[in-house]
Amino acid sequence: MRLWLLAAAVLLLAAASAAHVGSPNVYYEGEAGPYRVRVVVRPPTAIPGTAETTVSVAGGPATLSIQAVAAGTPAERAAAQAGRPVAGVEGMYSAELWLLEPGAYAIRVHLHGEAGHGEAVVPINAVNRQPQPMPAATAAALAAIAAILVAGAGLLAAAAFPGGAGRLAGATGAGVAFVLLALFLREWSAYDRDFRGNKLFEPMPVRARALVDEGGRYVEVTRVADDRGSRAWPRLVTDHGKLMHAFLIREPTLDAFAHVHPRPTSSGDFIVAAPTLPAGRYRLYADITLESGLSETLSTDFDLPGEPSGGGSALVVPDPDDSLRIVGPVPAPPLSTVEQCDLGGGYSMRWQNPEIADDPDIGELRFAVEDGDGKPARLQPYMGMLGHAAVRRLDGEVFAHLHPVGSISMASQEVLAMADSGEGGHAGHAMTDPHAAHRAATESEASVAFPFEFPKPGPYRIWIQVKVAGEVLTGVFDTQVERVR
Amino acid sequence: MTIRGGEVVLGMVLSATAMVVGVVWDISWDASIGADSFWSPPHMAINFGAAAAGLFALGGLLASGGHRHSAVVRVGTGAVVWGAVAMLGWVILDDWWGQAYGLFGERWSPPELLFTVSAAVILFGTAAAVSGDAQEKGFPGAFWVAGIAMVFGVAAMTPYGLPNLHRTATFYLVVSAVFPAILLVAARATEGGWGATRAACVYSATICGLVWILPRFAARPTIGPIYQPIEAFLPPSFPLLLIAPALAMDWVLRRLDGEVSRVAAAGAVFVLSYLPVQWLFASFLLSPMSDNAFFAGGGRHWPFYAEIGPERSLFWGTEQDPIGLMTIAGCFVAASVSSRIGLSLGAWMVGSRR
Repeated sequence: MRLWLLAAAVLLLAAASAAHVGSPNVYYEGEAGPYRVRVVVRPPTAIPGTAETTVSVAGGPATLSIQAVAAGTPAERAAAQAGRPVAGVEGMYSAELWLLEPGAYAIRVHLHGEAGHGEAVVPINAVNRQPQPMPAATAAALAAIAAILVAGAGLLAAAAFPGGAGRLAGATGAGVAFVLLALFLREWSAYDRDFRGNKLFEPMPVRARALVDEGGRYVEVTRVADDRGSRAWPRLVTDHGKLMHAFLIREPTLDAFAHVHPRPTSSGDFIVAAPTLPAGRYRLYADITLESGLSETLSTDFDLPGEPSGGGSALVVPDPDDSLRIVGPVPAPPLSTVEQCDLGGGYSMRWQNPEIADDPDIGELRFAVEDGDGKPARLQPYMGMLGHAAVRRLDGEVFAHLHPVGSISMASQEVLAMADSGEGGHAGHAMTDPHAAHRAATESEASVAFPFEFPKPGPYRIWIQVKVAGEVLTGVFDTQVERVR
Repeated sequence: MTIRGGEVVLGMVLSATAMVVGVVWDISWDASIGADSFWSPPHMAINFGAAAAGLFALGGLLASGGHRHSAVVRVGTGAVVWGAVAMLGWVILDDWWGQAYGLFGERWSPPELLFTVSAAVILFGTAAAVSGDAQEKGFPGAFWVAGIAMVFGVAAMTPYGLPNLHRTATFYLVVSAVFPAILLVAARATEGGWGATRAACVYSATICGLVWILPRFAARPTIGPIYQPIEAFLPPSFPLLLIAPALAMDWVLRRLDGEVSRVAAAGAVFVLSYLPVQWLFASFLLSPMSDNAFFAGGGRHWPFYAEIGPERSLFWGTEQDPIGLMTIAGCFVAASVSSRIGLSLGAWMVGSRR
């Protein structure tokens, strides 16, 4: 059955070209009325499919009803499922939610209990991703069955013509079955080509280039023309007052890192003043949220030239929330874990749970900041958050931008929460307050945690950004992830 | 170990019946509840039905050593084993397919093709085994299997068999290509005559039973968006009036000699006795008069995900896919070819003996 093996090989090859970001699971932590919830959504790789959803509730016993609401459809049209208690884990519930159409979905968790009524809205992207290659055992079983069916067709044909014609009939029967099998595989590979060519979710292709004048260096992000030749950007919504949050990471050493906020130009593209980064090849990751609630991470490479000598008028002023950090190049993998990072100004940051590299059940990255005296440092909100994290696998197969509320785009959450409040108007009804995290950030805390699980094993570099005494400080950590869920 | 052929064949017939009823139930499940898993009851009926048919057949082959029966019984029994192995391949492929390309596969995606072929071969094999066995031991069940095969044929046509499409050329061309063959296998292979009529009765009674029974059980969609208020299982469409051509073909064939005249007559009789009847009946099925529990018509019953307006009780595609003289000629050709196949297969099933 060479054809089967061929088909399996084709599938394997196609799957090797990986997605840009590679971290599809969604983590959310926040308030839902009187409760505090942690929601983990594992979306399917193909739509329609089911999203494994688990909700951990703190703040009292509650019954849960969970909906997956497609953007643009009213919540009352969505089916509601009761959260099933997870045996042996108090306060944890699970549900399998069906996602029928590609696009943005709001996972709405309704809680009812003695403490009152609460609701959390978790935005997710329901999109088709690269199919996983067929497991070898499955391929082997199918190949064996195909062989049995071809041989069986021959035996049946031979049995149908007892006597001298049997042998010829048997050969004919097996031949016909083999041809049908080949046609079937051709149909399959056409389906696969169509799926990979037309149905996969591709973040909008963009191009970045550096512009230089006497005043400085700038990075311009333009959209690559789509099928219809249009280079216009879709309508975007702001996340913490910015339409685009971008990270610049120098390749392949990952030593230079910047978090910048390009702003739209009159032509509709985006531009930002390049921070004082060394020249080199950079990868740009740009997070945007569409009006539909769909969030995307755009990605491209560009070359940054050296700093110009003169200092003239700046074409674009830097955004006050822009920040950067330059450290040593990442060593060759396997990486030994870096647990401590000097932040400058006497401050240092410590990774409190590096053991997450071997234990995916921990489910969060936690860091603490100390001042020069070894005392806990008071963290201030940086763009409304107690911290920002960027997680990157060395080869770029994984990149995630995290906050203490998780991996969601808060702009998507606002879009989807406002689009329809479902059973709005009920007494005691409490919407998720998208600004709850902002309030939380005003409390003094010396540590910050990001709900996350590493999606794939391998060597990772992690950047953690916090604000202390008005300064944005960036800690850089390395680890070698061994075990994932 | 001795297994009597009649018992093996009866087991195959009942298993194939469970499989086909499972298919119709599964279509209703998908339209009413939406989410189904490998372990949903209709899937169990399909999978266990196919597996049991295969095991009965395998048991029959092993117990007899394959020698005591006629070629027809051997081929039929072997075909059921073949179909069950193909169905196992479908289960494995479909499970992976759903993860890779999405659940609820498109119509005629490769897994669906494989499933259709597997089930059709199981039904063909069962019909052959029953017919051949009837020559030996007397279990005259060919018409029953043919009726069940008609149920499967209509299920495989979903959703192109909707009454709203009963004024399109494609519908009549497909029906003319598929059903004369099944009806004539029944006519030829059933002892005692009136095989096509009896098969059509089995088909109509099975679908009617599901039309009347399924809506008695509660069901609620578990996926959104939900556009149709559904509280019970959706009934399938009322049976096609294939009883009319079945009666006509049985009646005419008894009065004809010679294969050529039979084939020509069967094709013509099918087209003349089916097209006008279904054409007229379709108006009734879309009218408020049929909006009741008996006919489940009037354009009332739609899957929860269907966002449908007044077109629910209108004919569709009458302009894009109109019925003309060429359609009727095409139906005649299709029905004649189908009749030729059915008559030959039926003759083979009862004719070739040990």
